[in-house]
Amino acid sequence: MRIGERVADSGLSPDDLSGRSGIARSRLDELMAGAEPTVVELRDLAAALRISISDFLASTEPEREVSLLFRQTIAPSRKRASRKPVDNLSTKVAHAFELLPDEETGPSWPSELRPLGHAYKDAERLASAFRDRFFDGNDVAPIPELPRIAVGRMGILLYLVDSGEFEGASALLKARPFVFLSRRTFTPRMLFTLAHEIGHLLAHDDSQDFAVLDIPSDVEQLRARGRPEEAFVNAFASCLLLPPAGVGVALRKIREVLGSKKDGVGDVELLYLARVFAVSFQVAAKRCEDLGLIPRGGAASLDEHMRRRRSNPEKYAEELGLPARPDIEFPALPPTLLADAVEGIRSGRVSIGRASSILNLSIADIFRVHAAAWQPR
Amino acid sequence: MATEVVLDACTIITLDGCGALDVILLIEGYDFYLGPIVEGECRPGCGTALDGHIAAKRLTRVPVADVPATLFLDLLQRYRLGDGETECLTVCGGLDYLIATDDMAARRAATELYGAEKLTGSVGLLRIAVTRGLLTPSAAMGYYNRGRRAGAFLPDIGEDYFRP
Repeated sequence: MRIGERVADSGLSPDDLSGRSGIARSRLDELMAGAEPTVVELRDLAAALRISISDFLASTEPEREVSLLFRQTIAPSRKRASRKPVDNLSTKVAHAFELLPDEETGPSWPSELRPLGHAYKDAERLASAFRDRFFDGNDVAPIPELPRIAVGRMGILLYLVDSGEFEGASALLKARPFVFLSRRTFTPRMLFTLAHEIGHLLAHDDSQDFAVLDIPSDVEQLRARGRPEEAFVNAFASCLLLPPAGVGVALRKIREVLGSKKDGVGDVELLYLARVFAVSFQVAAKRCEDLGLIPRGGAASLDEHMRRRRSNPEKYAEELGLPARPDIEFPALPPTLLADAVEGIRSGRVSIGRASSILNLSIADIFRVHAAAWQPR
Repeated sequence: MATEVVLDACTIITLDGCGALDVILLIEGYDFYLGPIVEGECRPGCGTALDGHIAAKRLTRVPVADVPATLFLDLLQRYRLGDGETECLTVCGGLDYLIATDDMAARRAATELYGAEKLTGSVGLLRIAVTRGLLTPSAAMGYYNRGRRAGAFLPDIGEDYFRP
């Protein structure tokens, strides 16, 4: 049993855990020392740690396999710090496969949409092909509905997780695409990370299972660092969210609205562009740099200048009264997984209690989903 | 001697949702129990109903000591069911109770462990209520239909099932 390990992972002090679980501090010490818990203590500890009781059991073979795939892409210096998020993601993936039907295969696009190389022009081409396939060929409009496209037409199992340790993660396992996004209050950052992770799914060889964990600097938009693939998928994300034709049309209109007379693109135009395309100021600035609309190195300089003078681009945009970004909505749960879970309960592939624990929904919630989807004859 | 039945959360939620729990818990010769984890799974939705039935002694809490953690964890690992379903299997194993669950995977595990004779569910309990004269077959069918409409996971049956 992994009570000690799970408590250590939580980062909670024994006093905090005692307060949250209602288990006396002296009893908690006994449990940590190996005393056998009662089921009520297991339940209360699991609730306090926000995990299920089964998480106290040793990890399963599928969890270990997924964990190994994630670890292969993590630099040795980061392996120790990544253990907890990797364990969490591996558990989520293994649990998803308990709910998914065995016989169904994943979507075909990972083998059909492939980059020709890893240069910037390849990222541009891939983003254009992506818009052709999933956005009705529209190469102008902003794409704030990317999360809906991801879980719908693309069949991605998209999860939102609470983690300060990583920005996003993706995996292709048994032909099933998974994306994990860390919840952020600034949703344009999550949108960029989603596009970045889709880039990973497209850039990888689809014939093999893979998993990638991205820390914030991997999804850094202004200064590409780390693995070469990160630069390519960052470029893909920029090209997808800010298509060249769309940027051209938007900048022309923005200049009209602002009554700009001077040549070049300044900080106000970039702030406006960021709002229109549901991205951050930094992403808009870097994209304009890559499109040759501002000089090389200009994005970083503008960002630095903005932060020195204004402290925060978003505050400045508010002061200027620029229009708000379009809403970006992320589903709380992969909708296909919910439907597969209900089907699995009906067929006896998974129990309702297990599905409820995996999906973090109450049994009564699953009844409601069932009632809405399956009307009795 | 009374037949002792440990209720799973899906059965409690189904019976409470369709309005039949009050009737089922009155079946003579049957004592009904719920474990601490199942109770947690039923709250808050069925909380008021459970409090009333427990206070009226129509429903009894299984003492924590009667749910041995070692057996519970062993069954959890073996069957990969939910915590409440596993708790029911644990109680059934330790105390020789009947298990009432509507979940197909849990029913399969219970049959494998203890045999089909140790198993019942919402429709089985409704049928017993009919045989004891607490319900007519058409009233039982009405509860069944109401439960299905509320999303309960119940098998396809007709009114004949409830006819003695």
